[in-house]
Amino acid sequence: MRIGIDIAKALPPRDGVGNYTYHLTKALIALDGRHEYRLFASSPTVSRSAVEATFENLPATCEIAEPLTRTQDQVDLFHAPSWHYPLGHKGKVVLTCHDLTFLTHPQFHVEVNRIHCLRGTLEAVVYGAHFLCVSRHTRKQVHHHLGLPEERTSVIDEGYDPTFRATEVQAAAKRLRKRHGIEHPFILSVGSLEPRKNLVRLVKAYDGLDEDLRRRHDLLLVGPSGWLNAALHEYLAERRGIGTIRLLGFVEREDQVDLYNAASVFVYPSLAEGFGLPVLEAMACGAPVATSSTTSLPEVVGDAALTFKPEDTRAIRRALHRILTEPRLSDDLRNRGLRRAQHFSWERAARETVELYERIAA
Amino acid sequence: MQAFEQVLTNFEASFEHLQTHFASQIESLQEDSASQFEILRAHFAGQLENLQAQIDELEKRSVERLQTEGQNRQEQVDKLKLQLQLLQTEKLVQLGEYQGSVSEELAEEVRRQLRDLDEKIGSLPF
Repeated sequence: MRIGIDIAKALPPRDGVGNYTYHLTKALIALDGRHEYRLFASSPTVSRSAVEATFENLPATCEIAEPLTRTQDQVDLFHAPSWHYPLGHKGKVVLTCHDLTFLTHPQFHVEVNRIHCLRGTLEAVVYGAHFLCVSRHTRKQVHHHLGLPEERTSVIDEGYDPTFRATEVQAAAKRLRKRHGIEHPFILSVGSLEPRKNLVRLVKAYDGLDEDLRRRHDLLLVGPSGWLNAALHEYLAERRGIGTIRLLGFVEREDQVDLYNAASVFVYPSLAEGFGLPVLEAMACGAPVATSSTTSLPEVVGDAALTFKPEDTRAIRRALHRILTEPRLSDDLRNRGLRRAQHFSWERAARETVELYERIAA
Repeated sequence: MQAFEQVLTNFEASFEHLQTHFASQIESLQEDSASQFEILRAHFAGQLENLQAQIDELEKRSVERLQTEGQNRQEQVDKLKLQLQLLQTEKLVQLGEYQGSVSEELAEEVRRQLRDLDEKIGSLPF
C-alpha cells in the first residue's frame, strides 16, 4: 500500500502537533517495511531541501513527493496529522484529531486557528475520513460533538522522544545553573503561554504558598510566547510578592530534559487537553507530577500524579505544597511516573497506526 | 499620504530655490572680499544642513509609507482569506446536512461559531 503523510508541521520550529507529526512519521518509516511512504507538505512555503534536512537518510520505502503539495491520487491512503484535509484525494483518509477545544473552548483560540481546525474537521466528517484520536477523552468528544459512529474512530496514544529520560539530577542542575542562571530548586511548568494552560491560576497558587517555600523554590514557566496572554503578563508586572517567577521562553530539548530532571515538581494545570505530552515527558524524566483532573490528563498520568480541579487555585496550591513538603510522596510520584511513562512510545504508536492503516484499507 | 506629498513638494521647492540661490551667490563671491567669503561659506553650510534634513525626512516618510501600505495590504488579504474560509465552511455544513453526515446539532453549533467568527473578523481594521 502507498501511504501519504502531510509533514508540513513537522519542520522546525515545532509546536505540539508538529512534534506529533515528526515523531510518528520518523517511527513509521523506520519500523514499517511492508508499505511505501510518500511525504507531502500542505503548505506551499515548505521546501524540498527543508524536508530533506528534517527527515535525513530516508529508507528505500519512503520518498518525498514531487511536487510536494500535490496530494491527489498519488497514494492509496493519506494521513492528515494537522487538520489539513487533502481535498481532491480519492483514496482513504486518516485525520488525527488532537482535540476539539476549538469547538468546546473557542475562547482559548485565535480566529485563524479556529477556522483552520473547524474547516479541516468538517471536511473530514463530510468526506468520510477516519478519525485517529490521541486519547479516549478526545474520542468521546468526537462521538459526542461530531456524531461519528464508533467504526470511524480509533484511539492511539502519543509517545515521547526517548531523549526525555531520567539522568543525574545534580549534573542537570549544574548545567542549568551555567546555561540559564538557575540557582534555586524550582517548580516547573511547560507549555505555550496561552489561556488554556491556566497559568494565571498557577502563578496565583505559587503566590499562595508559604513564604518559606517560595523563598526556597522559584517558579519557572517554559514555552513559546503563545497568544491571548495579556492577563498573565499584567499579573506578573504588578506582582510584588516573595519568590521568583521566571519566563524562560522556548528552550532547546536538551535543556528541557535537564529542567524536567531537576524540577522539584512539574505542574500542568491545563483547562483542556487532547493528550498532554509535557506531562508524559516529565514522568519519563522522573519529575513528580501534579496536574488537572480534567479532559485527557487523568488517562495519561494514571495513578502516577497528584490531580486537582484546574479552576480551583487553592487546590493547585495544596498539590504544590504537598509535593514540596512530603519527601515520601515526592519519591513515590517520581517512581510511579517513571513506570507509567513506559506504557507510551512512538514505536508503539507507529505499530498501532500501521495496523489502523491496514484495517481501513482492507 | 498628504504629509508625504507635502514633504516631497517642499523638497522640490527648496532644491530649486537653492540652485538659483547658489548660482547668484557664486557669481557675487567671485567679486567679494575674504570676510564675505566666510559669511557665505557659513550660509551655504546652513543651507546644506537644511537640505540634508529634508532628504532624511523624505527617506523616513518613504519607508514608513511603504511599510504601512505593505502591512495594510497583507491584513486585507488575510482578512479576505478568512472570510473565504468561513464561506467554504458554511458550504461544507450545507453539504453535510444534505448528505446526512452532519447532524442538526453540529450544524447549529458550527453556524453559531461561524457567526461569532464573522463578527470578530468583521471588526478587524479592514
